[in-house]
Amino acid sequence: MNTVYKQILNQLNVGILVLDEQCTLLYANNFIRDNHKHEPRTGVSLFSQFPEIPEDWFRKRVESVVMFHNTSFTSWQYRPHLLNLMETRPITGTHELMYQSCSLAYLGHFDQRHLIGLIVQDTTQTALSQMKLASTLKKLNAEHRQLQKLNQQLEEAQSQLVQSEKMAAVGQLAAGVAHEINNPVCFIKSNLECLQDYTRKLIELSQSVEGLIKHIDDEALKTQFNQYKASLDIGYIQDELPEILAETLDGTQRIQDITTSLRDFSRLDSAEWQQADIHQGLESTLKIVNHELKYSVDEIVRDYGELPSVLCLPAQLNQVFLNLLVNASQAIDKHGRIVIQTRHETGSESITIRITDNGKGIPAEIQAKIFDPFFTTKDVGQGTGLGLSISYGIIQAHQGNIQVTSAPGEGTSFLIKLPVTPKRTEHTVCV
Amino acid sequence: MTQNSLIANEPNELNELRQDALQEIFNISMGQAADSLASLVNDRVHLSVPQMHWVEKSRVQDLKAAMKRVPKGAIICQPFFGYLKGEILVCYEQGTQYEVIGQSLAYSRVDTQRWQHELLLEITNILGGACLRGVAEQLNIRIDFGAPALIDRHNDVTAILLNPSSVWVKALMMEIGFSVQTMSMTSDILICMPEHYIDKLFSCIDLLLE
Ligand SMILES: Nc1ncnc2c1ncn2[C@@H]1O[C@H](COP(=O)(O)OP(=O)(O)O)[C@@H](O)[C@H]1O
Ligand SMILES: [Mg+2]
Repeated sequence: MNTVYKQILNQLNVGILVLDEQCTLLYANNFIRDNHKHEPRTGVSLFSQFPEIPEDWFRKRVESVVMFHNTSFTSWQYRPHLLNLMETRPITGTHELMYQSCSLAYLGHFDQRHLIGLIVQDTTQTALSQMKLASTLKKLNAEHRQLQKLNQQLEEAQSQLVQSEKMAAVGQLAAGVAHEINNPVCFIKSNLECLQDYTRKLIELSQSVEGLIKHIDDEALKTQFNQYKASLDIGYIQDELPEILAETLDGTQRIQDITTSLRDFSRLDSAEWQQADIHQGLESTLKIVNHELKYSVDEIVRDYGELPSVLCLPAQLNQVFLNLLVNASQAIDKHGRIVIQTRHETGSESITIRITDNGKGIPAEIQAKIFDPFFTTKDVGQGTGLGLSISYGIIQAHQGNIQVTSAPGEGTSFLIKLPVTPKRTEHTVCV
Repeated sequence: MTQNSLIANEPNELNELRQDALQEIFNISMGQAADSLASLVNDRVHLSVPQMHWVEKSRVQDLKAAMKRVPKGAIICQPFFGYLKGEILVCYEQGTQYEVIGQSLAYSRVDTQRWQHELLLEITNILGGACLRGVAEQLNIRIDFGAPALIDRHNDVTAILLNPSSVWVKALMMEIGFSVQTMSMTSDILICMPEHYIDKLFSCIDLLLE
């Protein structure tokens, strides 16, 4: 019967060691013998045969098992390799050592000594799949977080889009109002021009009347006239009136300029592709951003070349110019200089627009990011990080391209290249 | 002690007798367990008088109310089997000091940080074994243990018991307060046995009562 038991023990896919309470190794089954680096000898200390076992700790466990007649456990999670047993798959296995969960069981009291069994279970497959699971889970979690972040960005983008749609609506409204204002301003202006003409004539008349009176001998009439003239302060009025009228006319002219550029900028008719004058677009944009620029920018240099009219969505190109000009002015501290250069090589199918500032420049490491949506180095409220990404989209839709060159501390230059006649103009742009 | 229909079809007097006997058996076992634990960890160990709770899953809230305290922390569970079958649940609160008890189990100071969970598993194993060994001896039955496992890193035991997909319906739960002086910890051991094994338990007790 004993040999049957031994046969069974040797057939088990489980490692079995028997020791006494002094930790003398009494028995090791085949599983242990076959899988351990060195074939263990019995009758000697367990620790001489398995030096990998932490001795103090193990002895303490043996002591408690003997004291309580119970079983003590170790788990692969915390103590993966109690014994240096080799993986059972030397070819397809991926780990050298076998993962093990062990139990240390009290066997009983025989021949004056307590016997303890160490039962070693191969948990390599479980361990590997659990670890794989854990790392997959970690990856999934990371991806989940990434997705959440993207989702959040999307939501932000959406709200920004709503915002920019609102802005577009406001632009339309402004253009509409500008148009409404333009009509009365027009007739005010022409009336003023009439008034100017009439008053000039009236003043002329009064001056000639005065000249005629000088030659009359009726002193009483002369005095009466002069008194009357003085009491009405006519001399002053004669001086002031043309000036007042000129100033008023000038003001009216300015109102008209603003309304015209507002209208030009938003171009109510600009949802359609049309031939447009780029310089006119630049000028109306400059008028719009003038109040932004005037504090930091001392000089705006217009280095305009000869440009053909370009098939484009003018309001959208104006939006691009606006973004670039506002960025330029925000990059400038004081004594700014912005150069706007336009070029068209004879015979070429495209034009270039270059806007250069002498602001603080863009560090090389972020140059690749500035066209990304939401990339901004500005404070909350100052920048949305959308200007350049929207501009990029618009230029793309025009089948052109936009590039940046910048030297930190010296300035930044944006170069836009646009085809004179883009091929696919059915393309609509989202702004 | 919360009582309910678990044993309602038995005459009440007999049940009271049985419960008193069970209580007594546990009391004796706890005393022995505390002594052997103390000698192993070289420290003052206190195990409280066990409180018996008869619990239905639908009324775990009652258990929560009836328990002396409901600590929250790492929860370790260890199955036991043999003549009786059930699980031991122990909750270790955060802030427990493991250095001293770790040292008495031959974990160095640095080790206790790294091996904290293994240490908890072993403490649970020793505790559970110590508590139930006396019970098994007095009832003259065999009880063996499975490997303990960490089933939740931070929770309270009643939340674990409430898990809707767990299989138990009615059970006997013995609540034992446990404290080791140097661990500056008081915690709860919950020995849980499903309804089915209560009958077996009572038939053992009946033998003793004869
Ligand atoms: N002319 C410029 N000079 C320096 N930095 C610039 C210039 N134009 C753009 N940038 C940088 O690119 C970033 C993105 O610009 P933009 O997309 O317009 O968003 P925003 O202006 O709202 O920050 C800015 O935050 C800034 O750091
Ligand atoms: Mg911007």
